[in-house]
Amino acid sequence: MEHYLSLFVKSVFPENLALAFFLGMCTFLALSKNVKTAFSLGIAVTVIQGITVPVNNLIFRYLLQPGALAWLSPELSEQDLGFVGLISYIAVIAAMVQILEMALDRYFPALYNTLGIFLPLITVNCAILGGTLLMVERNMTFADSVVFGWGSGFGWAMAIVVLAGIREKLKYSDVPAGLRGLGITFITVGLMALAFQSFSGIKL
Amino acid sequence: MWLLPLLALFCWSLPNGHAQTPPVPPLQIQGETMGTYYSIIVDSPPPSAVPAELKKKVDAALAAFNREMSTWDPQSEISRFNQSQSLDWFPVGAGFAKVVTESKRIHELSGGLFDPTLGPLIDLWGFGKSKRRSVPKPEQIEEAKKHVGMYLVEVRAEPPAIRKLDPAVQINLSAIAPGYAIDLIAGMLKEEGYRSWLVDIGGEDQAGDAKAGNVPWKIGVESPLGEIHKVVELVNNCVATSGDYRNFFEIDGRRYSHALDPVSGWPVADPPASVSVFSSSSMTADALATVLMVMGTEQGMKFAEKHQLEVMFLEVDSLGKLKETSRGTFAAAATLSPPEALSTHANTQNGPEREPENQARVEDNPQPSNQDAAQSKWWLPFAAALGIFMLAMAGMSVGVIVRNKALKGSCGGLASMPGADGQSICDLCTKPKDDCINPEVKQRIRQNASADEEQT
Repeated sequence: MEHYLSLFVKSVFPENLALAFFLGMCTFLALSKNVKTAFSLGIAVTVIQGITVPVNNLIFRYLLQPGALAWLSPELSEQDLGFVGLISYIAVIAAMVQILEMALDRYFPALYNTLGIFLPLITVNCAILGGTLLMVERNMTFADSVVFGWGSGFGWAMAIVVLAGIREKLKYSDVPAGLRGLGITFITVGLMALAFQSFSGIKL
Repeated sequence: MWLLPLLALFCWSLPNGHAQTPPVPPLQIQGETMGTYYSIIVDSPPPSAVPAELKKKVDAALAAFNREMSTWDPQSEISRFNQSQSLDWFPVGAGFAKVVTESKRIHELSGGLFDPTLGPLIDLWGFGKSKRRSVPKPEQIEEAKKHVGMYLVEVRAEPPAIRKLDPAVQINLSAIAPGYAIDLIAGMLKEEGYRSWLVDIGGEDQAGDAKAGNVPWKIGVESPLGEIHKVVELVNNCVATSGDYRNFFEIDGRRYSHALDPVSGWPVADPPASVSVFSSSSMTADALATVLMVMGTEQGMKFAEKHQLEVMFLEVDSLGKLKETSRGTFAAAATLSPPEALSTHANTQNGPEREPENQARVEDNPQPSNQDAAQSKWWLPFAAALGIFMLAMAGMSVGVIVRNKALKGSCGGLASMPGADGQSICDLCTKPKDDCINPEVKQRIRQNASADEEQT
């Protein structure tokens, strides 16, 4: 239990996808103008990340990993399908996003309307693929991947909501003319990333 | 273990042919680990043994081992320990602590000639990840040596942990950890109930009981000239070979090996071509082979005598003649004369040509059927890849299939070019475009926008 808790905290703070790995920056910067939008996108990323990382973990461990096909027949225990890894992962992400989109449209139209335009964007968000690739690189177990998926999604969501909050407040401050807009946003993100560096001192 | 494994290894059943029981084909598994290969042969396995399952267990054990002691894995315990600047106790696996303890023992035994903390010196000489080949200045060597020494690392067993006494100290267990990995696998095989087996990782071997009919396992030690120099029997024992005669370099006409002498901070000059040593544990054998390589033949033989080690040094003189200095089993074993060695080797060989690097190889009762079976499966990866591609395409087009939704470009690329109306589809990132979203949302966003304007 302690292991999972520490994995979760680690994926939220010291290894935050947005502020430590700088993944998913396009949407992170573009959609952090107000908290409401950021919050919706954050939820979408968390849900997709929480689903795709474990699903890709199963695909990696039971289809792609060297010797993973041994459960089909012992003759296949030598096969290594790692070379189709990327397309498999991105296909899972694309399919999951679309299925989720349809399911939301059908059962939770209100949430769908909030998320509607952001969901397709997530398909090509590198934070999502990055989460999967990190999971593969670290050779996580299924349980680990569930915790890591939700944790890293939550960390990204938190980061974008915090940034949106700061940017909302920044509207009322006197930013030098040359820095208005994206300039001050970059500075803000940089400072946030520096602040998140302090979490790397946590021993987990 | 320094660089290339030199042990050519082959085990064949003696052609005495009067074995009473019908021969059960030996169970063989092979795989890759630590940048080299591993190979396990189990003689007369029980009928219930499944090679794939055993391989899975071995791979899992090696993966766990690598997570502790592989410096190539940036997330492994050893890598994190090396990166850490802290002087506090750093919790590690019990196996890791054991290897460090043994390292410290050999370090003291060898008067500091075995030293896993050589990292700064190795980097300085350019044998490490940075490929620089020049002679460092003496003051650079002195500087690097300040952070070298096993006394800078402390270890405790309960609970297993290690700590640095100097934040800059780095440990690299590659000269001892592979031996420990063999010990691990050997222990696992014993636990699984196998009695007669041979484990080989990168040319270092450990054997269990003798084969059926009390036939001992046989290990061929390769000479630097390429042939099998001697064949020794191995039963419930371990042998390790260290040598890198293929990887020397010259300074002012003198040959230096990639083995570094931690005491002088210089590479070993005129090193023996290879050193083989027996020990009851592979971990010890592995470390001792490295120590003896650094000591050289003369000092090494004294060391071997003092500690009752069975060793063999092979050297090649300037005329290209092989010179052997050995004691114990090695001295007793008959030297194969080159023609004999060649023919023996040719007899046991069945299959592909020898690897160009003369890497160690394992051969046992060659089974051509295996190879045929492997060849008949060449189409499998293609079929599997085709299947996965089709599944991937189907998965990605799930929206089109179920809801007949048109495909749209994403942000970036041509899709972000402004259209006739001067706006691109990607404006939705910041200012949702009407036809991208449904009317309800459009309505709400407009309201929000007007509310924002009122505020400002």
